[in-house]
Amino acid sequence: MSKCRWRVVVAEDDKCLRKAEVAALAEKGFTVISTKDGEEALRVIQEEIPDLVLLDLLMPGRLGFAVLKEMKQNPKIASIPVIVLTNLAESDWKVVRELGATDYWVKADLTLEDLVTRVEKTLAGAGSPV
Amino acid sequence: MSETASVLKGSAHPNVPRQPELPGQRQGADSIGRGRVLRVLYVEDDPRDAELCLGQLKAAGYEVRAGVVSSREKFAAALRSGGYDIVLADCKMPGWSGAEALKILQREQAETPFVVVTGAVGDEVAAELIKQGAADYILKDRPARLPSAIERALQEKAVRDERRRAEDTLKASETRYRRLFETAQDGILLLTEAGFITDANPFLLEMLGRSRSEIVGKSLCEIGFVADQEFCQKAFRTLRQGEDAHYDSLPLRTRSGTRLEVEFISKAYQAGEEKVIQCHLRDVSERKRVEEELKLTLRMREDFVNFAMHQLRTPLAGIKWLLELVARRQDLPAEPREFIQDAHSAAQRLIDMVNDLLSIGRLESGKLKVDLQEGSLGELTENVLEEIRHEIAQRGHQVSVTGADEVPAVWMDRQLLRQVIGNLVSNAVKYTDPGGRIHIEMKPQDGFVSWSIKDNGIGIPEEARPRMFEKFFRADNVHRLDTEGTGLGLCLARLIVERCGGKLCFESEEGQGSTFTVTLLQDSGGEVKEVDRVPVGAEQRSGASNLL
Repeated sequence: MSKCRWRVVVAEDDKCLRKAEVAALAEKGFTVISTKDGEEALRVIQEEIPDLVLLDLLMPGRLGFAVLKEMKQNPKIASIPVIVLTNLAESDWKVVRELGATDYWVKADLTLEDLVTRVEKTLAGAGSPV
Repeated sequence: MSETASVLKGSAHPNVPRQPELPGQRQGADSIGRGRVLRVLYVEDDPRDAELCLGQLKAAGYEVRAGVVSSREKFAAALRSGGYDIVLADCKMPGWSGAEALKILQREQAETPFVVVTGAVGDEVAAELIKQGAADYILKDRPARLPSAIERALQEKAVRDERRRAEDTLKASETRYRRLFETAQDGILLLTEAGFITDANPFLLEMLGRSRSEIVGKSLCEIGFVADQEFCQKAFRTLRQGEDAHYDSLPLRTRSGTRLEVEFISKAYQAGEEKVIQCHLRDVSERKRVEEELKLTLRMREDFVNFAMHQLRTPLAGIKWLLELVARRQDLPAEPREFIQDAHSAAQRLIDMVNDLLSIGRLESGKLKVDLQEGSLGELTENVLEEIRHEIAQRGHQVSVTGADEVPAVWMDRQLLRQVIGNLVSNAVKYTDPGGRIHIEMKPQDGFVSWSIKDNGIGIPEEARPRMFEKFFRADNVHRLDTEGTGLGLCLARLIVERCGGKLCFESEEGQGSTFTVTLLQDSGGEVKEVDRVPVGAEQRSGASNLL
C-alpha cells in the first residue's frame, strides 16, 4: 500500500498540536493539508476532498461540531471519515457520534504513535485511495 | 353668512307673520322639523317667494337660519363661507339660472343637497336638473311639499355621508393592510381553501427567488419549494383541514437550490364567502445556525471545569506530542534523550493530574453522570493487576487475591471503579518497600461486598490520617520513597465510591502497613435502581471547585 496517496486534512487551531500532527503523519508518508480555522477547514475539505479529516472541536471561525454537521449535509464530503480530537470531557463523545464522527479521542490521553495507528486503521477500513 | 343679502332668523324674529297654514298640515309638518336648526342658502331674486317658502319651513318646526342671495357672485361667496345644510334655488334669475347654481354648488361642495323651488317648470327642465344632481324640485304654488322634500334630501345626504365614510375607512384600511403585506419583513403567503396560492408578498418572493406569476395559482407542493415532500404533504393536510399550523423549522428550497430553514405559521379564516389560509414564513436559517453554535459554546463555557480542563490539556498535549516527536530521533545523544524522556513523563504526570482534577470537579458538580451497572470486582481486580504487572515485578512484591470467585456482582460504574481499584493497588505497590506483601480480599457482608487491600508498607502517620482524603494532601513519610504522586488519587477514589453508593475507608499504622477497604452494594438480581448516594462531606466539596 503506497501511503503517500492518502490525503489528510488536519483542522487544529493550537500551533504545537498542529505541528505535531502534521509532522507525525508526514513522517509516515501522508499528504497533509492543515488549517487552524473551522470556516477554512470546511472550505479546504470541499476543495480537496481528502481521505480523512482530523478535526478539533473548539476552533475559531466555525466550531468543529458545526464543521462536522455541515460535512454530513453535503453529499460530496459526507462520507469522508472524521476523527474528532479534542481535550473536552469525554461526555461530548455522544454529541459528535450523533453528528456522524467516525472516532473520538482526547488528545492529552493519546500518544502521537497511537494517533497515527488510528488514522491508518480508519483508512484501511475505508478502502484504497481513489 | 355675513355676506348674504339678508338674514332671516326664525326664532330671532318673532314678529314675522306666519304663513297661512293648510288645514291638517301643521301637526305633520311640525313633527318633521322638531325644532332643529336648518341652515338654508336660498337662491332667489324675489324676496317674497323666499319668505313664503322659508315660512313653510318654520311652520314645519325647523329653526330656520337662512341666507338669501340673488347673484352668482353672492351665491359663490356664501357657499365659500360655508355652514349650510341645504341649498334652495329658483330656476330662473336675471342673468343666470338654477342649473348654473347647481353646477357651482357641485364644484364647491357637492355633498350639500340642492332643491329646486320654481314658479313653473317644464318636465324636461326638472328632469334635467334631477339628472344633474338636484335632490328634488318643488313648485312655488305648492310650498307645503317643501318640508318633506327637504327632510328626504337631508336623509339621503346622511345616508350618502355614512356610505362615504365607510368607504373611506375601508379604503384607508385596505391601503394600510396592503402596505403591511407589501413591506412586511416576513414572508406572507395566501392560499385558497383548496391550497392554491393566491398571493405572496415581495419579501417571500425575494426569499424564494421567484416571481409572483410563477407561483400564483399553483399548489404548495406543486412548486416544490418545501424541501421535504413528505413533510410538505403532511403539513398541507393540516392546512386543508383548516387547522392552524406552527412549525419551528420547515426546510425550504429556493429557486437557486439553497436550503432555508423557516418558521412557518398558518391560520385559516373566513373572508366573506371564501376561506383564506394565511401563512407566515420567517427565515430562521441564520438564527438557527448562530443559536446552535452559541448553545454549544455556552454549554461548554457553563461547564467551567470542562472548559478550564480543555485550556490546560491543550498546551500539555502539545508539549507531550512534540517531545514524543523529538524522542523518536535516532541521532539524539544519550543525555538530551534522557532529559526529553523526563520532560515527557513530567508532561504526562501533569496531564494525569489535570485528568484527576477534571474527574473530581465533574463528580463534585454532578456534571459527571455515574453509569451504575452490575459488575464483578474479581474481574476488575484481575485487569488492574495485569496492567501493572511489570511494576509489581520490578519492586519484587508478592501479591495474593482471595475471595474473587465467591463474591456476588455489585453495583458499579465500571470505568470509574477501575480507576479506584487501579489507584489503591498502585498506592500499595508504591508505598511498600521492595519485596513487600500485598493481599487483596473480597467478601460478602449483609447485602454489601467488601474489597480490601492490605500491605506491609510504610503506613500512614497518625496526624496524617484525618487528612488522607483532602485534595493534594500527601503524608510526610512518602518523601522517604522516591515516588511521585499528585495527592488527588484518594480524594477521587472516595468520590467515585460514594457516587456508586459505597464507602471507602482505611486502617493504618505507621511502619506496619495500611488496609484500604471499599464497600459496595451487592447486586440483588433485581432491576437497576437508583442507589441512595452517600452524601459527599462538606470538606470534600470545597477544594477542587474553588481551585478551578
